[in-house]
Amino acid sequence: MFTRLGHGSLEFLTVRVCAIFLLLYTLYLSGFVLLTDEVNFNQWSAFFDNTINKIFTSIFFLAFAVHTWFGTWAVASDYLTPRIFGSFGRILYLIFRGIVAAIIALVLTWAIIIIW
Amino acid sequence: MSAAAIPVAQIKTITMSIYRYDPTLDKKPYMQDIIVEVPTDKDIMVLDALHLAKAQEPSLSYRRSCREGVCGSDGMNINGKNGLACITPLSEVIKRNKITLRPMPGLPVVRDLIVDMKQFYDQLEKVRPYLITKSDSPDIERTQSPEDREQLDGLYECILCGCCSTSCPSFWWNPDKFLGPAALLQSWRFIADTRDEATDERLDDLEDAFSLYRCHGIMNCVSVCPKGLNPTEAISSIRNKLLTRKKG
Repeated sequence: MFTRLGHGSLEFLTVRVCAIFLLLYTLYLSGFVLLTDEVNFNQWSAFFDNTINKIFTSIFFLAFAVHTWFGTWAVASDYLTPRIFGSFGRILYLIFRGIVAAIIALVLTWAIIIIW
Repeated sequence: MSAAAIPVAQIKTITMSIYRYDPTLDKKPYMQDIIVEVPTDKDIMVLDALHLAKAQEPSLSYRRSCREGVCGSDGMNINGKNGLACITPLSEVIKRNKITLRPMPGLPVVRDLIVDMKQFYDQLEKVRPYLITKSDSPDIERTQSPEDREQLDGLYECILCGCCSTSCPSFWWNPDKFLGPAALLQSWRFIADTRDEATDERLDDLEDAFSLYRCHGIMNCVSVCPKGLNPTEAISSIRNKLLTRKKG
């Protein structure tokens, strides 16, 4: 089906698709932990040595990054605004977005380095 | 009839705590307690109690007109929840003989319980709440099948009191960008109307990140609507339409 999505629809879908992937990965990882008799370093390490698991885990962190970026944008654009904080609102918004971007970049980079 | 047979009026005293603010006199708003005697042998509405309060405090201001839930003038915040004073029974909202009345939140206060509805109407205007047609007018009228007409049930009944939009946090924070539940209900009312010929344009207008998508499904609008309508469902219907429409 050919659809024409504006950026509101695209963001809405992106956040939800990411959320579904985060849930599926969480269930997948929980399944591994619950179905393994004893999770020790060797098994944990073997799990993440598997290329498919590496790809899934990388996608998980990417989905986390996208979901967090859009989610915190929604929060910031509700509360950190000139309407509430006056002329300081815009500065607060930018500081918050900067901190979120830094945390996401840090988590993503660190995760990719560890996984690969 | 003997004097003993005449029923003695049952009266009780209640406290009405009412938001007061006259920008020409007051530096800041304050709550005023007004003691009112109300009958107990019949259930009166909050608006009736307000009239009794106004008899004591003639400067008390509020909007009212039809006093039967049709005009939508007397929307206000009653004990923390928006509603129409004229169709809200006092017995349902009074707690420990006290009732608190404030103006609807999120809009500038003109005076006492009266708010400036401009922002609300501005957002309504954006959805073009009227039938748009492009084809030639038929000889008599544009007809609908009974089934198509049924699609408008639960939509056309909105009286634009503003209770829903002013109880919506998304509207509080972005009243200039998020259209609000009342305007979006009206938007869906015309998108769903089979006689309307501007569906694509209407949907295009809602594609940005705020107009419609700022709805987080909190559902305060559903909880407070005095007409029992469901703006959240209307918003969801528009969203489904946006996400599934085919390329023209």
